[in-house]
Amino acid sequence: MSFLFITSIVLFSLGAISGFFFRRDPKAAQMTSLGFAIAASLAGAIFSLSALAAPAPFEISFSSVFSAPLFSFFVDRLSAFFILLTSAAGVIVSIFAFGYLAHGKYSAARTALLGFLYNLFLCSMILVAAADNIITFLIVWELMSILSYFLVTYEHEKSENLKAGFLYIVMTQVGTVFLMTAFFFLFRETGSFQFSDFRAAGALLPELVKNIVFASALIGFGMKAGLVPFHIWLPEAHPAAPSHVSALMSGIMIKIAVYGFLRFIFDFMGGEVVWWWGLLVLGAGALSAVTGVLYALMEHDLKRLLAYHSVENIGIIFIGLGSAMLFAAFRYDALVGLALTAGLFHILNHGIFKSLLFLGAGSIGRAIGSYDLEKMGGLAKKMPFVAVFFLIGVMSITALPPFNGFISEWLVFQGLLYNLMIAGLAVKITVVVSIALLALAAALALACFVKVFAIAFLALPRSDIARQAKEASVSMRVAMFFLAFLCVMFGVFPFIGLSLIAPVIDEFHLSNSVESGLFFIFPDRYLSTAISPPAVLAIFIGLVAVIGVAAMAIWGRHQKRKSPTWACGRAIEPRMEYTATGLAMPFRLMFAGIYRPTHNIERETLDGTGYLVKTVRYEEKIEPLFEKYIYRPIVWAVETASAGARKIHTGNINLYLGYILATLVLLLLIFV
Amino acid sequence: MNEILLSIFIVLLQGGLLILGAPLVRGLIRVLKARLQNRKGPPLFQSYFDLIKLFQKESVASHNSSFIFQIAPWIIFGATASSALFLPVIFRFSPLWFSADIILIVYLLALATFFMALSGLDAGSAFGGMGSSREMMIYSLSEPATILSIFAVAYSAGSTNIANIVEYFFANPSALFTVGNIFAFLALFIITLAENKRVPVDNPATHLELTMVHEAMILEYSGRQLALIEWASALKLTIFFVLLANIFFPAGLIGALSLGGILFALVVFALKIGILAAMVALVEGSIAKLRLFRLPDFIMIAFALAFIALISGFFM
Repeated sequence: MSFLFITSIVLFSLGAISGFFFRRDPKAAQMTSLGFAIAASLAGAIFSLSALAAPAPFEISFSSVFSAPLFSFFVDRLSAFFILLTSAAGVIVSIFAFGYLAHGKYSAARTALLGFLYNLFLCSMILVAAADNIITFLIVWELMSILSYFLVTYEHEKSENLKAGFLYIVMTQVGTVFLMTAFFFLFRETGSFQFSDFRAAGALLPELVKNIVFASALIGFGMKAGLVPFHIWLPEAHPAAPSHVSALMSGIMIKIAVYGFLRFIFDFMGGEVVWWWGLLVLGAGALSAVTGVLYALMEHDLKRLLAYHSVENIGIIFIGLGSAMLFAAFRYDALVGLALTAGLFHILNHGIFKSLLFLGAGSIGRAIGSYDLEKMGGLAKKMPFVAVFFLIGVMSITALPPFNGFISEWLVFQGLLYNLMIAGLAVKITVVVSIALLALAAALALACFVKVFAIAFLALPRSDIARQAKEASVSMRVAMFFLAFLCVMFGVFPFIGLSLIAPVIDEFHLSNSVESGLFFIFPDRYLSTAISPPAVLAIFIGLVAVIGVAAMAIWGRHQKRKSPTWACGRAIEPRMEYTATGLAMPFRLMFAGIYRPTHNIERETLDGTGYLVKTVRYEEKIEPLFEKYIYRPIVWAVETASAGARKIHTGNINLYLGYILATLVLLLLIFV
Repeated sequence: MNEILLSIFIVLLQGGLLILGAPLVRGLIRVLKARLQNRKGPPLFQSYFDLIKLFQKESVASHNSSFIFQIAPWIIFGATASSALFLPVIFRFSPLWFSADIILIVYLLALATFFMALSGLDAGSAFGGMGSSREMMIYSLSEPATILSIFAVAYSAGSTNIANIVEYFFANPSALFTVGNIFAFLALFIITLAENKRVPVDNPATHLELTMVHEAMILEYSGRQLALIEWASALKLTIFFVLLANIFFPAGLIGALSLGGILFALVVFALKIGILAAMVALVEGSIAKLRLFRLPDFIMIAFALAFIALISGFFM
């Protein structure tokens, strides 16, 4: 089996360099690098499936392969689950990229560079999930961060991309510092670099060290995952990358951070969770869910909006994990599996539908050359396939039945319901608040995606570019079809997706309380709650058919006619339509305390008169709360400190020698 | 074999009663409201006449509209009608208990809301946009309150399965009259008004006003499509009534099949729905519609009640 893993890595590496052999032909460069990416991802997918399906936890150590003993890899089922997610997305996104990148705008060298970064980026995510010691983990983790930085700044002509990239790299490096802290303490306590020695160290660690490791891991991985308040880079960086890479970053990379967190909590700590950890994770998740969607509502750039929804969904995932940690802390062993399954299933589902939505956004961007919602409109007629796939993605992310998002959100709600059974008022009240915030986030997400879908796809085109939009190419449609198909399959037959998660739950020696079959899904076999998505779908179709046929039998065929929209006697024009800004207006007023909106109206009137209005310009801004109250002060402190430190840097070499001497004397005085 | 037939009979009886009886509930509220205002009001069965008339008429769609406009009425109707099948109406259970719990029912209704809001924006007229925007605002305010009040009763019963909840309260009548339950009932009643666009949230009697919400969204619909949407909205109101009546007052629901029992349960059910209809009519007859931006205050009352309902359950 290790053969497949190595094959996958070798293929990725070949894909990375292959592009550079075609110096004159960007098309060939792109074809080969994407071809290798698909082959490598397929190998990775088969490898991870077999690792998941193996009856006993499937372990392979690759230490012997690499001569340096510092590098070692290990794939258990938790790793396999995330490798599967990455490589499956790798296959589908690469298929999409064939059509998406076929615009021929980039030179051969640039195309080759993209192929290089893209292949290695996919490979690095797989390696992070497989890393088995501190050194390996940190190296591949940094590799992933730096490669994704270069992908974010790939279109470096745009200065905002450079800015986004800078913010991203700073944040991600700060996150790594926290991870190093966590690893340092684990190393100090166990005296080993190997993950296998950390296993179940939770019971042995002193309380304080345990808390420090937890806090560092939460901040470090939370930063990469985009957990509030560490999310500010995410809506800047994810949209800056080319759309197929955005899909990987939002769909997969932030989940790799969740993988790291899971590895720490349920593997290294062995589920030895302190009760307030669960509360903190639950609270941070709930806060992320609401914050993400609130800012998404105000955002009218499609890709940035989707990035904010990643913050929301990471929040939902962390709610699931927090819920599981609460069960673990209070020894409700039978229910840890339920909440953890909910979290893992949402990871899987979000990976699917967020990739789908980003690919849809990429198709629109390719067709009209803009991601501004206000410039779209009427695309359902111009790009019917993209419209249907995008609609499925929208209904999945908003957790509407019968799509996959509903099932995982339902499981999260079930976990929270049983969290209420835990004694302790602090726990109960936090859980109640989380339930309310999750419900609010879900409802606001529905409102937000009504805005997205209606403004982008329905009614009249709002601009000339939207009027000339063309359907996406075949490879793009095929990729989106696969993802949409998965959304439906995992929604109607959730046992398919849950069967990928059950082995992971088993591995942690948790009772797998979620029982699912072809027709049913029970959150816990002892509780008589159940849903049956296929039955509901059948009832739905049956009822519609009965009413449709009955109406036809009694009153005849449904007569239909087309006619212009009534606009009070005038011909309807795009500028009469409701805009995204208008649609979100009630929310801006309702949550004015959070948004602190300011707006500016400029009127230009006809010369001489004050009344005949020629043009009106409306501009609105919302105040970025986290940036202003958390990050501004930090930046200010750093700048002030460095300005102070600069005073002693005069550039005079004698003075520097003096500093060295003084330091030496000082150290000698202290230590000798 | 017999059991399957029996189950089908129970599903058809309960579901058919709700789906076919829903327009009557709407008619009843209209008549009661008219009497309160010293008017004679329309006939009790006017809603049925309207629906029958609409089913025979042709549907006109805008040139600008897409496939969403065509499929939305069917999805709205289908989602609402399927959620009606999972409710205990005259029995304490539904043979379909395994297929949907109360959260799924709420999300099926959300599915209908989603398509309603999309279809409002599909024709490109500003009226539809206004309606959809307001609908989503009201929905996102009331949703947390809905979930919390559901969790309040689900917490008591230890399950989100609606048959379990009803069975629990039927077996423990003393659990019904706790502070938590009364608050949860009041919260769900306010949500019923908000979600079904009744006064003081929206005026169902209005048409072509700038303040309308529901009517604005369905302005472009006509003929059979309009009939489906109107039927679905009557059904949605009835579903909320059934939740209010049968969760909080499960008395009169029967556990076994007998002709006398069914008749008895039907009478009790009609009585409960009649009382709820009278309550809605009383609210509509006595208070005025609120301004749009006063609505958050009104719905926050429901949220606060539901929050207290759930918290107070911990001290019982």
